[in-house]
Amino acid sequence: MISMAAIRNEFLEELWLPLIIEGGIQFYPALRKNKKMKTLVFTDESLYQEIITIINARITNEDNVFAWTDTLFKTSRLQTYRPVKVVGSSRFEDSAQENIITLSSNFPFDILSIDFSCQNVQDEPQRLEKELDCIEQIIKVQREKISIGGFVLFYTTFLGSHPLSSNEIKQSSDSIRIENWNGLSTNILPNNAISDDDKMKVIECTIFQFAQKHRLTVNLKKRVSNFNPNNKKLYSIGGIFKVV
Amino acid sequence: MPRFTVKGLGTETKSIYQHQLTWGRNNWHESLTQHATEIEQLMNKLSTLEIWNSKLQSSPAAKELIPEIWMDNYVSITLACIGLYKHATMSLRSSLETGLRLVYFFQHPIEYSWWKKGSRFGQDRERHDVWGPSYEYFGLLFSEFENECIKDGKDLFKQQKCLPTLYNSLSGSIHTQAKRLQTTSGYSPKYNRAKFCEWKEFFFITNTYLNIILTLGFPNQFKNLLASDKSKIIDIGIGDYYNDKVKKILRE
Repeated sequence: MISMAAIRNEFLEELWLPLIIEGGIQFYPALRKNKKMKTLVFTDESLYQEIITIINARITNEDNVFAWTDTLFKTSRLQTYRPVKVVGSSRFEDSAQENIITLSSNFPFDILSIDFSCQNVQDEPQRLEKELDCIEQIIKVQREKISIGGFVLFYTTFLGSHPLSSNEIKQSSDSIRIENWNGLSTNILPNNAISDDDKMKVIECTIFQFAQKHRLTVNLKKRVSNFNPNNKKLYSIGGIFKVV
Repeated sequence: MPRFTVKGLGTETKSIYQHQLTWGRNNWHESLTQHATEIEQLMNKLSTLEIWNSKLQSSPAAKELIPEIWMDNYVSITLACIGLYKHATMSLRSSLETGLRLVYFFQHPIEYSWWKKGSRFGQDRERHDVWGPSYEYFGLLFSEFENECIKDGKDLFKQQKCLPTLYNSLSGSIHTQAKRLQTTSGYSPKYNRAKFCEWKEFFFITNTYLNIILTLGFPNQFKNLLASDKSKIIDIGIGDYYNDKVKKILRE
């Protein structure tokens, strides 16, 4: 059985790191090394390989890494072993609005790895819808704090066994009003996505539209991998979001 | 920044450092050899606090006090495992006290701001805390639950006073009652099965009561939890004796 750490390493090597490096070149072309890109990482105290890798690649340094973990146990251990700033110790989507307020003084970030798979994910109905709502709220705050350039953002999660409702996503998203935006278009998407392929299609289309809504362009890239024999799939999608 | 070396320490400082590392390590090993499974169970029980921590982030009181409750319990495990049973129990009383205050302050943000500024609000000469004499506040707030327990011959606040009994028992360590003396068996703390088991029971009950108080204190937040989180609080956090009563009160 392939381990979670091995999958995340694969994602890191093949998706996250190349996009982060590319983002660094585009947003900080004058700095060849030691870019010190401000980074928000949802991490697990035993799986913080992504933090070590991007620090070793001289994309950022410990002073510019802000970690979010889902428990007080993990925070305590992370603070013991890695001298990074831990900005949150709760399951993010449980109190998304309050958590974004908590983080607000730290925005904007250059890199955001919003990895819900680190958060002791429970396979419950409406989980993906809630996570996507968090993603939009984060993109919204990012966009409010920048007028030029952009950022690199990844969304990582388990696809899970429950259907994904594009109507639910639309309802949450449309409650976040933006001038000249007529609402999320879900016409071409299955309302209740059941298969993993359909879920991935809905997620990709949704994030693409979040970017458009908040006046950003993005070319999304993704990876998916089977986690265990129960066919639990870990999915990551991300890209370089640029201000229009 | 200066680097730490043992060599550079003064004689007495070096001695206390090495001495404490030695008995600390030995007692950890002995405690885990005898009780590793139980420690795992207690850690699991403590992890129910994480659910409350995630759910109650909108309250400034919860945001600050839940990590403190967690840390008191976490440190209590450490202290018990290195053989400091009196101190481990002191830490449990601190966690219980903070948990009780949390339920009150959640509903009373103005009083919370006074308390944060150092006011000894609510602590009158009879040493009652914000919950009033005989846990009056909780007795009234959770009267339906209390009546359910009384029907069953056991209660939390009023007649047999399970919670006050626990609180007073834990206080025995804070006020160093004779049976809680740390140094009776020597000056180098040692693993002691009876004392470990007594502490383990205190830990278990303290965390059971904390979960009852939080569940009854935040019923709407409890109802909005994920099904798996509710089950964890009911089955592991509260456990066998009180879980049916809590479910009945919350219509779960």
